[in-house]
Amino acid sequence: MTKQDLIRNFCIIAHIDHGKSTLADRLLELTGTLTEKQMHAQVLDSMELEQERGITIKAHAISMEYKAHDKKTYFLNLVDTPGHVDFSYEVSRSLAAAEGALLVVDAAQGVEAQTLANLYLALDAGLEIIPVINKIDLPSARVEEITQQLVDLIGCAESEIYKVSAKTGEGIAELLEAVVTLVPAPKGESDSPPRAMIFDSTYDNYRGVIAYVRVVDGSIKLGDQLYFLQTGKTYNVEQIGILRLARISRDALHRGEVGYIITGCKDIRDVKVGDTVTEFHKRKDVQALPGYQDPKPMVFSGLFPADHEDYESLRDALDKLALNDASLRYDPETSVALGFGFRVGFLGLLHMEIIQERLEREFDLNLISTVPSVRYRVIDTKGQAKWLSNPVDFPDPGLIDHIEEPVVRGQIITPKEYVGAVMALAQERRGEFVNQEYLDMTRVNLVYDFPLAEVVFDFYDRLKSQTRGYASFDYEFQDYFKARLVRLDILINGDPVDALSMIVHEDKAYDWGRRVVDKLKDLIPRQLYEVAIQASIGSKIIARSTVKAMRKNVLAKCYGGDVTRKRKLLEKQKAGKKRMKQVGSDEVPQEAFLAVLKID
Amino acid sequence: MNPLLNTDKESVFSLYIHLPFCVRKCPYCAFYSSEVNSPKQMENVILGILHEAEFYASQSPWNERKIHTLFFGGGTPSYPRGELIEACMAGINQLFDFSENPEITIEVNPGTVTSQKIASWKKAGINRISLGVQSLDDKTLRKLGRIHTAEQAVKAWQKLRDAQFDQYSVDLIYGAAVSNPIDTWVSTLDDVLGWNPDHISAYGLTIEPDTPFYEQVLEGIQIKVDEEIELAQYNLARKKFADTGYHHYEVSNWSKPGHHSHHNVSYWDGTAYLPLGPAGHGFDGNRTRFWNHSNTEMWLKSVFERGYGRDDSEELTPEQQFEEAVVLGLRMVDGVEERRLEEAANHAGRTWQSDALKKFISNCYLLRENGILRYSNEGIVLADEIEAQLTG
Repeated sequence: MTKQDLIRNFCIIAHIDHGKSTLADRLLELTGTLTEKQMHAQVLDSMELEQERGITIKAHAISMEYKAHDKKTYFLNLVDTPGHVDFSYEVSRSLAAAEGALLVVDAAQGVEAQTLANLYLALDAGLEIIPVINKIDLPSARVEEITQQLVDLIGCAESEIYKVSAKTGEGIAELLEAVVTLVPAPKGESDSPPRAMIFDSTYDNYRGVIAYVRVVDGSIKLGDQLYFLQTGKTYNVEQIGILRLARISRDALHRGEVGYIITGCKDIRDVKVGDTVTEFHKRKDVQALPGYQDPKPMVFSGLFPADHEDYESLRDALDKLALNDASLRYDPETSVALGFGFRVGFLGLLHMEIIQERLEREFDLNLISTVPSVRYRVIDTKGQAKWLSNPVDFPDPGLIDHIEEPVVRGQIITPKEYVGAVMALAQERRGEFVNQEYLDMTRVNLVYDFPLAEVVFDFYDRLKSQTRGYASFDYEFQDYFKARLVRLDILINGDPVDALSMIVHEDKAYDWGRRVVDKLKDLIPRQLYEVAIQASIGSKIIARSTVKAMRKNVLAKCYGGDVTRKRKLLEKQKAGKKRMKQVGSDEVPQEAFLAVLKID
Repeated sequence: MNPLLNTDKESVFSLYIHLPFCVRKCPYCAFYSSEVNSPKQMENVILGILHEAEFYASQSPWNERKIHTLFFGGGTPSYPRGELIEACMAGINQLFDFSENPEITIEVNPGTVTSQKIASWKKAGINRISLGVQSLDDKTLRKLGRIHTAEQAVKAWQKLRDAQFDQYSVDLIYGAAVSNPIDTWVSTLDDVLGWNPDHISAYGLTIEPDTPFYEQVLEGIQIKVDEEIELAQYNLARKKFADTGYHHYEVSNWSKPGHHSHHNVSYWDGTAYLPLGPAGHGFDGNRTRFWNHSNTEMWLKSVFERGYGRDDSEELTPEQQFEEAVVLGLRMVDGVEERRLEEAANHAGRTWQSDALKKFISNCYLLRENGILRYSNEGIVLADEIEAQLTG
């Protein structure tokens, strides 16, 4: 038996809150990888925001030693996966680093949309699936029903499903044994030139970029000169090793092993998730491992500092976040209304929210974000295709042959009583019905194709409120399809407010324009003259509202000579004016830019 | 130069005496007063006021100056027994210099007038009555939470008129949400003009924080009329007063020629004023504003421990002096010497000639004539917004 035969690489896939992290903790504890003292709850999620949102954003890996019933000591590598659809490419790379997956389902909640999405990814990656029902200790556990769901879903036998409680530890020992017996040992050639796949990377202030890798063939040794196939960069191995709670350095990593490499590289963009690493001299002899993709931002939004003096701080903050997030894209953008800022590309909505929240929380920035946009493909009359992700760049309609928009396939799992409401919502969002199936007596999986633009925008909140929080949603990019899209502009007293422009479907433009101008009417304070708010497509006005002129604004009296009070009122009024953004000769409060994001 | 302004500012001061007693607080009123008033408590306050007066009577600048005006405000200064006012005035008379024949006003609530009180006020040397009529429509009075009816107001007016004080003023409030707000306002205006008072104050109802009305507005109850109607009411008043020979001299004040309230004007023209009693505000005529404790017990405690009931004060910065010069100067309908505003701006390190100023002059919200800057009829109703821009 070779060393490779004693390695098991696996991951855990689950819907949010189905207990992935607690299960990981329990495995680490049971294998003695962590003593109870080292045991912090949910050690794999280290960022504050991750813990709050109960999701794992950045993947890590951890090695355990486990003495199995056959008396042999196995090396179990748990590769953690980011749970959310926005990071599905990263999930797919993490899965590609493993041979097996624990599919964890909550005993009370049952199969959810993310369970399905992740399961499909794991099956695509050819992983051995071990179905697990967690939280069987809950009073509300419906173990029998959920068992049936899983049997129907993956076609396993009832007896193949592991029933555990990560909280109490029940069933965990059996599950560990199953990892050894069911997950195949890694394959790969020991004599071939080395090949390793980067499944994640982080930035360390002292050591630079740390690449997390799975060695597929051969070995990578300390001091090797490495070659990165996608980027064409060369770096020397300064440190190499495996991952426990800390990094444990070794002389080499061999085929089948999971670990880390430090090369002194300072730019995370050189160390791309999914890239193949080999030895420089053998670079001509190896082929890249399959599955690499450049991270593609799907959602774009302008981010502007509320106080224009914070522009430099915003740039520094984005630079810092990008050290650790190769998928974050940003370019300077100038808005007439909002001044200097950045056009930022995100993997998805959650990614966008996380970045915005981290900018505000960790860097103490007060930001104004513009309506998120997806990336459209514009084919001009000469047949040339161009990308379009900022409404400001929308070309002259006369030069456009047609526009294509990204479409995703969405899974919505909902209790059956909400099917009507969900369908109505899907209709409203230009969803095209694909399929519907009952997961059990009470729950339905609805499959729709949606324009991505329709789901990036408060779709999830609406879905949750329509189904009293019961529905879950996940999606996967399909393709680009032709659509009738127009740019809707908002004008204040005739001046277009670039930050409020958006690209919408022609059929929705009127309704949307109406709602935006009505909302703005309530938010723009009255001024000395009437303020006209208009929505237009090209030169055609499609909706209008008016903020009436201020008619009377004079303090009637000062009680008992209290001039101080009068002056404080003046100062308050002046402070209010400072928070306004000047649009032409009109003042627009910051809230107006935020409020259009929350129109229902 | 505005003929109304006090030309002798350096040698005089105004005295404000706050009597914090009310039968019942009006729901719009933001000024300090109490509804719980034992005769003993009222006496204590008067004693405190005299004590405080005695303290200031030996302090500069008050000991070097003559009394320009004296004003009993509140609260309801017509609520306590007449003898208390007499005693108060007797004490004050001995402490300050009354040789300039000052204007001495008492605010009177029509629901509290008696012949006995009128006799006492006369004896005390009060020469000007400011009657809080507010409206001559009972529905409006109820909406405003007043303790009196229209009929009581008429009777009070007659009684006071018969007593032949030197000058009479009437306070009115418009803007309360009632049915037929325009008609009831017109009829109140006509009736009051029929009385031919020397002076009229007409205040737009203002919803002040920390008042019952404020809470009611938050609850969605309509207290005020639509802004358009309030503006129409103001314009009606301006028209009627002008037609009957009243001079509009301050945002909310009109008078027969020569009968403006000297006390009111002293707040706007930089005259020093001294407060006695809880919650009063004062100004030293230079750059210090100060105010008394706005709680009777705390004020009394301070007065009897230290001699005066001052809570706090502020020294105006050049920026604040500039803001005040604009706000107070332009409040006078006849305007302000622009040179003074320019000086204040320069002192604050600013330029007075701003784009905002040019805009307001070119659109005629502000009029500039012979070095005087004043609001037009269209400008004055937007004064707060315009001033925020001029000083922004």
